[in-house]
Amino acid sequence: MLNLQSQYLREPMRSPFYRWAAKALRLSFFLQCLRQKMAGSVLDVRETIRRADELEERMRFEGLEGEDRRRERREVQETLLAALRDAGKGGWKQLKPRPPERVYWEFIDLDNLESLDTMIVV
Amino acid sequence: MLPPYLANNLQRLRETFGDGPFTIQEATEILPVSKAFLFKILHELIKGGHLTRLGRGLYTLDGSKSRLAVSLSEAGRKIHEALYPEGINFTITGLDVLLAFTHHLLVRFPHLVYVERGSVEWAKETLRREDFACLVDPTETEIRIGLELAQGNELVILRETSDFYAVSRGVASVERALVDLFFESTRKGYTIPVSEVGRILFDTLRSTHINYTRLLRWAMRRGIDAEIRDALAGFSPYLSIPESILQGNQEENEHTIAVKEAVGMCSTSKANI
Repeated sequence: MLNLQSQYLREPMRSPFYRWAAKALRLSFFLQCLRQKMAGSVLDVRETIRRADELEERMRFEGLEGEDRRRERREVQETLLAALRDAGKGGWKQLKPRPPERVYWEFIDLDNLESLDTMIVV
Repeated sequence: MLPPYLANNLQRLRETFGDGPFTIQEATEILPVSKAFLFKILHELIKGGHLTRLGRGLYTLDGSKSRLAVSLSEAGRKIHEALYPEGINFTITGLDVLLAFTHHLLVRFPHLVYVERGSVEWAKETLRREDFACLVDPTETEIRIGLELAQGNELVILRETSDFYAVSRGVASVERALVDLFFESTRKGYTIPVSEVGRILFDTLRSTHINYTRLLRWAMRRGIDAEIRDALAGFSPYLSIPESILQGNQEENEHTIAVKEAVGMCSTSKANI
């Protein structure tokens, strides 16, 4: 990844590693949707991805500032980490110092999209 | 009895800052007066015992020097405003906390930020959005090159840590900032000479109340308590440092000698005046 960034990408395209990981997980989620659709589900893939992106956007808490924004983001991060741990997904400890967006894409799948909607309340 | 213009301005300062420390810049934003008149107001308030000067450009209405004077530099405040709402665990330390106690007027210096282990990329990305240039765990050479290359930006040194002892809301206590600055200057090639660190240490101990136990505890965690104790022993003729603090291992080396020499010169010149 370091070589790719330094030799093939210019500044606006570069991202920290955790953001690449989040992008890869988003792609993986998209593939999960496609697989479901091809298996005959009535799932609206575009709408599902849009909802997932909207949830990610929501946890940025752009309308809040200072202490309030910190509190909300930390709360979401802790909720997601606890959910990740309870779901038995490995690596949650390594995700503790990462942004909530990164934890979110680690956790999301088609089964928990609804519950995520209630977890991330603005 | 204060004249009305002083009473009104004092009231406004009290309403805004309470007993907390504030800088000249912050006072300028609150009081609608010229800078020259502001200095007159502050001078009169100090003379009347309503205001205490904690260091250069740093004041408090507390009336004593017993409070810790933690007031960040302007760039330090911007760093704090960027990192704190993100939810990152970090501490701003070193000169940003101690700027009021520096001898030389520093126009530009690398800002020292310790972030939680694993969060350094997150912090770096957040600070880059605010036009800060960041170096992650740099060597002395990298700091010098970074300062040269990032002429138009403020340079931030990011280091990872898992120890947030003596940190409140992302800002290091004065004691922690002193130890961190000494450590960075003597071990990590930070661009401030150790003699200047010595003068800062001396001035801080002289002008604000320091929790020596906290100072030495953090120094111990960083493995430099013997050096700090030796430096404190060197200061003891000029400052009232508790005896119990000086008991224990003291290590004199090139760094502590530089610190003590810097203060020796400082005290001699003051005595001559």
